[in-house]
Amino acid sequence: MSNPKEIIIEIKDLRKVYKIGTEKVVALNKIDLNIHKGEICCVLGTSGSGKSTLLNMMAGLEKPSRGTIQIKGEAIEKMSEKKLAKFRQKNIGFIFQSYNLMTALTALENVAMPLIFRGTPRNLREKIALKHLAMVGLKDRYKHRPTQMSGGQQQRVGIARAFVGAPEIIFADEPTGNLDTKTSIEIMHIMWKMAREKNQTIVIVTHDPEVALYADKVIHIRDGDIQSIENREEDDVMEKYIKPYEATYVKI
Amino acid sequence: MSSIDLALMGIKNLLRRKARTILTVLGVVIGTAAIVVMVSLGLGMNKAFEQQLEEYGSLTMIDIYNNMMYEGMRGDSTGFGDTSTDQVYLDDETINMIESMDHVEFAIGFKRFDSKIYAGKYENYSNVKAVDLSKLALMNIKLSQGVMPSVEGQYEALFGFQVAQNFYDPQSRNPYGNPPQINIFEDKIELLPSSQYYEGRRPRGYILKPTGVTSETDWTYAWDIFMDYETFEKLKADFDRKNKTDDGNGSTGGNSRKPKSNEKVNKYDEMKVSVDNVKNVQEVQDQIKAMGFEAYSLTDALENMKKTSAMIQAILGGIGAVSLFIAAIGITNTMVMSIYERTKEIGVMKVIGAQLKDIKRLFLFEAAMLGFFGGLLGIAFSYGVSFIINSVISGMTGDSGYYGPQILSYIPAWLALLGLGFSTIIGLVAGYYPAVRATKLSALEAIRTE
Repeated sequence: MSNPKEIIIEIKDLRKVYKIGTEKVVALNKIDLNIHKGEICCVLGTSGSGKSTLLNMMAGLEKPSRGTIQIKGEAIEKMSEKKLAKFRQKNIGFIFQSYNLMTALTALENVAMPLIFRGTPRNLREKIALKHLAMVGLKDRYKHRPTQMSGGQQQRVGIARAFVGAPEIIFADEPTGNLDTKTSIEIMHIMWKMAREKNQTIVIVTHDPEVALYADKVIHIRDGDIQSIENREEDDVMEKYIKPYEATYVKI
Repeated sequence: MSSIDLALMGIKNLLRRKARTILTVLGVVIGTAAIVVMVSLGLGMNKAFEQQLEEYGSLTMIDIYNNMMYEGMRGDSTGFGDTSTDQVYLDDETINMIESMDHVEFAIGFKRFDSKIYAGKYENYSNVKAVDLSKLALMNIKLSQGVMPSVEGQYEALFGFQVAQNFYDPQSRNPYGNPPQINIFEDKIELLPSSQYYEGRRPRGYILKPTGVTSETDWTYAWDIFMDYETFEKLKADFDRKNKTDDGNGSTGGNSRKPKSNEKVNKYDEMKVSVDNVKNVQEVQDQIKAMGFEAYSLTDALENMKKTSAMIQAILGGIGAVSLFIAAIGITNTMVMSIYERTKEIGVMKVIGAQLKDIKRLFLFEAAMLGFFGGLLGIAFSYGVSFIINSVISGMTGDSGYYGPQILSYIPAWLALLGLGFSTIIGLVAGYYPAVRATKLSALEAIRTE
């Protein structure tokens, strides 16, 4: 695809220490990591390994104790709350483990939400949102509310919402954590296809090795340190997982 | 985020929590209604004062009398010629002087004559006020019937509306017990320019032609009969000549002597000065006093009444303000509760791209809406309460009341708008703290599952 050398996220000497009472807990010890544009990246680790902390810091939700995180050349740990909010609106999509859809809103309204904050006019944003709902295979359910949908469907709405603003980076925090295996594969498939289509970067945090199978780069993390980084050939993923899946389930 | 989307989202949020929204709005309704009704009572009082004063007379009129002290002194002194240096007189020259002052529209003089009028066997002691009819027309005296008298007509006169009620039968044992119904336009009205009592046959009088009757709403001229000054002077001279009644009772005011040729006299007993605006009354009144006359107007009374009612209004408004303050706390409470409830939602919104100002505006808008709708309903409620108060009060005293139905509570449009604006602002102020708090919420805390 595009230039694989282009670094979009650059993490240097990252450390995070939590103070619990008088005790210090090291969540991340010393992380150095580069993520390239268009990469589908998976941070794999057990609970307590520090993988979620890493994601939160990349998304600017937490400040590191030390070190820098540069996204598109900008040091996000130095940004003010206000600037961060603007930066997130422009560049970042977020997928949650528990979907976090607005229960009062329909699928369409949920997907259109990030566009509302951008000030996109109603007609246009509904058109874009509907297109993204179609991409995740929920075109017919745009009027449904989250409570009327299954977990897999809700997560698909969540994915559509993350992609709707065409952000360059999408962070996914255990996107399949609440789903069964079959649905998980379905979700990963959708995310993979959508990200590839527009050369978007995805960072997925998970403890599920099966999810990691879809990644171009798997970062194994343990007790606050990177143990190993595993790079895969893009075509490998395509041949091994995407094609067989499409052969089995032609339609989502 | 566009304002329309923000407004739609805010309203949706409020509707989602109907019970709490309704209860909070109810608090604001009561608060707003308390203030508006309280202030409306104060305004009603003000209005009643003004109405009352207007029935006493016009607020822009100054009444002028001659300084009685001089009169008394002159009565005692033998050589009154030398005291006249300081003496002022109510005559045409004075009228001209006063009319040349700033803000004065016109000045009019009255000379009162105690007289008697007859209708058949009935008689009636009445004041005839001799006046310049062209100026009387300027006074805009309200009439209930007929027209103003003119100089050209033969003995034309304007009657106070009470005059017709004052006839009695002098032959009757109980002359005032059974007032006759006299129609001054139909019956023959005869005037004697003297209040003298006649044994037996009375002299011939002059047939008056009443042209109009003053309105019942204005008691200032209720018992007067207005006639043209010159006409009346001639009529009286004619009468005095025919009857040789130099009884010295032709006029009041103590000036019954025949004037010497160049002596100044009080041509009038009383003058009225019309001022262009209530605000200028005091100034004109002071100038007239400086000339040496006694001058009275209703502005002094009005000032005092206004001061009193302003104080009462402040107290009443204060009582209302307390309830609106409590409503404001209610709004803050509701919004803070709403933040606790929506912590997660706010966090998610932040993560998926909401700006801090969007969140702040959203909360401020919701709080302002609570204030606005509370205010709107509160004002509707106030009009209802005001209507009930007024109809109950006028039901109690209305028709029997001297001044017609009294307004107790009065809500002008500006008060309604002010109440609405005030409640909305209260909502905004009350929502400010929760709004800031919402923006400070940690997105991480908010989205944390489990």
